[in-house]
Amino acid sequence: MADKPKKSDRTKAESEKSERAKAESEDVETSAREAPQNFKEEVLRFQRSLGELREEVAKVIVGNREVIDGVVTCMLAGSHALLEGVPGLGKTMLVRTMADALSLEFSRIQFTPDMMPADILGTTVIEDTPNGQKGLTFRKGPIFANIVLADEINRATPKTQSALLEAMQEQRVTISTTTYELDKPFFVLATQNPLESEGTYPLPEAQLDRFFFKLHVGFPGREELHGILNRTTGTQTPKVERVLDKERILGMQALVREVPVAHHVQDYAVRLLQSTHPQTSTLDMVRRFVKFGASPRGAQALLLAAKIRALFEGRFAPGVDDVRESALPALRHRVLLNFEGEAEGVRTDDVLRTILKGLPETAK
Amino acid sequence: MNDTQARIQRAAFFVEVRLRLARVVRILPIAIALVVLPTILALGAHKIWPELFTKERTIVIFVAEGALLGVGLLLRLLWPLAPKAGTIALDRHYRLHDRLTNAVAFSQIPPAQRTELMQAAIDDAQAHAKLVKPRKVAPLYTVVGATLASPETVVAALAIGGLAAVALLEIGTPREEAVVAPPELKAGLAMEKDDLDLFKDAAKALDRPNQSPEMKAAIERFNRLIEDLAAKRLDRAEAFRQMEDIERDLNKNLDADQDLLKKELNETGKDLSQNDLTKELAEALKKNDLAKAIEKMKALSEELKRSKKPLDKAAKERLAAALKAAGERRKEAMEKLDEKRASLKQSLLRRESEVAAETNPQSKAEKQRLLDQDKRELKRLDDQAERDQRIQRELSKLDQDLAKAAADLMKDLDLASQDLEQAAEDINRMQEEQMSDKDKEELKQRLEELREILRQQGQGGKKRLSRMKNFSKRAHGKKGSGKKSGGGDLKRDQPGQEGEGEEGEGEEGEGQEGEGDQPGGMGGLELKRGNGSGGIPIPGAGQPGGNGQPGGDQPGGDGSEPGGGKSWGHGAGPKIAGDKSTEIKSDTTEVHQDGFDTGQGSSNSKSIMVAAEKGFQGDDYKRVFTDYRTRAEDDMNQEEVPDGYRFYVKRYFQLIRPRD
Repeated sequence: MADKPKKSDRTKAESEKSERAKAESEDVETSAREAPQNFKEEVLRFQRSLGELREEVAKVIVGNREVIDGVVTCMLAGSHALLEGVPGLGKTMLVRTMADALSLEFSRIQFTPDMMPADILGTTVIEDTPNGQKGLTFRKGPIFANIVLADEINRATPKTQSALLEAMQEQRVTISTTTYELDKPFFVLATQNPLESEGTYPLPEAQLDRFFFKLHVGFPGREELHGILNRTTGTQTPKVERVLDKERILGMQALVREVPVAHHVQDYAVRLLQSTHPQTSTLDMVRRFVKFGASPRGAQALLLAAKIRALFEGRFAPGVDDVRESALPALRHRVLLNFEGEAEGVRTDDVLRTILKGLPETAK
Repeated sequence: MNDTQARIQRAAFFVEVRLRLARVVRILPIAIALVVLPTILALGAHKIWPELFTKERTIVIFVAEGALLGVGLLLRLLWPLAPKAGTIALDRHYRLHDRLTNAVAFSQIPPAQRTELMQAAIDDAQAHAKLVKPRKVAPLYTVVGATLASPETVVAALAIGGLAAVALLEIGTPREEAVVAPPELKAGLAMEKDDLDLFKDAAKALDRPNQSPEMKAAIERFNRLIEDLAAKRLDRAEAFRQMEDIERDLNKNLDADQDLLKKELNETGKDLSQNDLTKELAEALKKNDLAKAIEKMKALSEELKRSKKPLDKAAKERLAAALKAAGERRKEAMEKLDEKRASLKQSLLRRESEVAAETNPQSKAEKQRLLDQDKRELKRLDDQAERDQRIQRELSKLDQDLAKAAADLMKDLDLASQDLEQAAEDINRMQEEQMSDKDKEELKQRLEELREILRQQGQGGKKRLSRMKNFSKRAHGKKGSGKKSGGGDLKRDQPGQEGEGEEGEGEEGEGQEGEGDQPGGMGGLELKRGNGSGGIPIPGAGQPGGNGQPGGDQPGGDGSEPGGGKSWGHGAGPKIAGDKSTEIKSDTTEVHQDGFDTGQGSSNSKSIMVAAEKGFQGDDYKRVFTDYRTRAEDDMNQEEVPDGYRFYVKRYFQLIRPRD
């Protein structure tokens, strides 16, 4: 059955605002949709563009293929990604390189405990007007970019975090009474350092749920290290060519929404989601160690990720495998373990793998 | 639905069928094991408790389990698969990432409602559907192979093996062992010492210095046999075999020699009958009356010595001729026999060479037949020569003496008289040898008795042996076990015996020897009728006046016992003493009179009473016993007593014989 975009629940005030923003984006999307008449060719083109992007990114970033794909998936899904890894693994470099390849405006926010929301969103300053008077001018903050790297988001205070997260969710910034739309595509790549726990403010679960994927940036292997050293300690600096632009990205995002999902695939995503809940799961591991299961956002993420993955491989519709492959990054930050699980050292990835192992592909 | 879509659907269907079959194959081993195990239990129960788990019930269980298996497999086959299992299996096998499954799903949407990407997905699936082959998706042989290699198959194989083992298992029902009468006295044949002593005494009596070597050897073997029996070194079979050997050797030459000796003496008598002086001698020899022949020979010798009328020459010549003829006739016969044997031996040698040289099979067979015939004839002549030689040895001295007497008769009558004296001695020796033959007969008789005792002992078993032991003790004046052993077996007892088979037609148990503590018994022994009517009225015992009359007149009664004819009471010991105490059917008045010692010993009745109480001992008892036995033997010799009864009578007297 075809997957139709769903309307999120918003308050009435917000809905009016969103209506306006949506109308603007729909124009872009419509234009993108109307342009390619042959979806087969569009899919091929999608696949080709992705390949080019990978190639360009690979010029700078060694390995981390899954992370790159995950980041791209988040972007194409119109959502955001959370990267977790120790410092020095190239997270900033990755985002910057992608921004260069995508011809998108990039900004980096290094979160600190003393950072204020205005440091992210922007502030209103008094400036001289052209008529010589003093006026208030809103200076946009670093969030007003297409790709925002929020480094060590867990170091910011919850207030600052919430400012960023709200902007991520709404894709607009409201300063005083003025709402500023964020330029599309808008993509936030947040990072967390798993090592330091002192002086940090772990993102609350509700906030974590806003991230499309949570990607683990692993330590590079030996060969990868050699590649990194070869590329970063020499005289030559690889140059990243721009392969995609804003319109193209938006078009790709629109195409993603067009991808149909068969009922059994969607059903699999639903059953997978339900399996993460201790109340409905049949697995003892889930019932024992999981406190909360994934929200419906997790199912959304599963399906969108499956669609994007299908398009990555030139297919016109996702399969159960696509959902399965997307399960870990899409759900690992949405499943919360209880105290016993944490005490036992159980990881959410382990729980999800157990679920995936026993979940049948189809069910009545 | 276009062709490609139909193709996909069809392929999916085939795959699903194979998946169902594979599902059945996978559970087949464990299903078989689960069905076979109860079957094993049922079959084992049937074998162990056939009454409870009858054949019909077991079959019902088999059928039920088989039906259960079939139903289970059928359910497994028909049980719905997971939705879209066929297309999913195709997608998985060919790594199509659900292309076919999505295409089938999108195909179900009306074309008007399909998006372009749906159609594109369908088209994409169709392009890949051309390559799919259902057989490769669910290869049954792979499933079968995997199933065969699985642990469940091992379990199933073990279960089937167990079923086969139980099916073949024969649980031996506790058969009732065929009641085989114990071979009774096996190795270590046991005999009562009393009987052994009897036979030892018999052998001792036969062993005299002038016995022939054969007789001495036979007696020696008999003694060894008795000693082995006493030491329980022989089993039943060996004992009988040895007895048979002894008897065979005794019979070997006995009859033939006796007949031949009689014949030769008869011929000698014929030769001597030609002369008047030796006529009476000749008659005695013809009749084989050696005692009379000795007497006549001595008389002739005496007459020649002291005759007042010396013989004239003609008379001497006639007498000499008769004596010479009698002495030389056998020699000529032996010579003729030797000539005949020599001739036959030469003929035999010639025929043997002819047979060896003959090439024609028929002629050779005929010559071989003739050769065998000659061999048999030679053997006969050899046997005859051997017998003749034995007789010759017997009679050679007599022949020599007669011939010498014939020669001396013409010279000196005294010498002739001495020769005839010597001839009388020869005849006396022959008479003694005849007695030796009688000893052989006696020994044969003992062997027969021993054989019969062992035979009956085998029938009676250990009980009989026990009774015999008890009886023997009491017979020797010792106290027995006091038990009335064999009381229930009394009916098997035979007259004069204890518990020996049944013979005759008499009442059962008559004439038996009851044992046990009975008033007046030998410390428990009493002679008692088997019919339980009381003790045997010992001949003369307990009769009015203590007449002491032997009851010997009563054995057999009037012969009117069942079975008719004169008989020894038909196995009825009491018959010997009569049916009841002697009653004098006359007007008499019972008078009790105390006996007084006349110095002639106690009366028969008293002796018998004492023997009953104190054992078969004492001179008085010996006297009474001898008297009775002699009468019994005389009567048996005169009466027509069947041999079987003779044995029992003899046995009776053996058992009650006096003990030292």
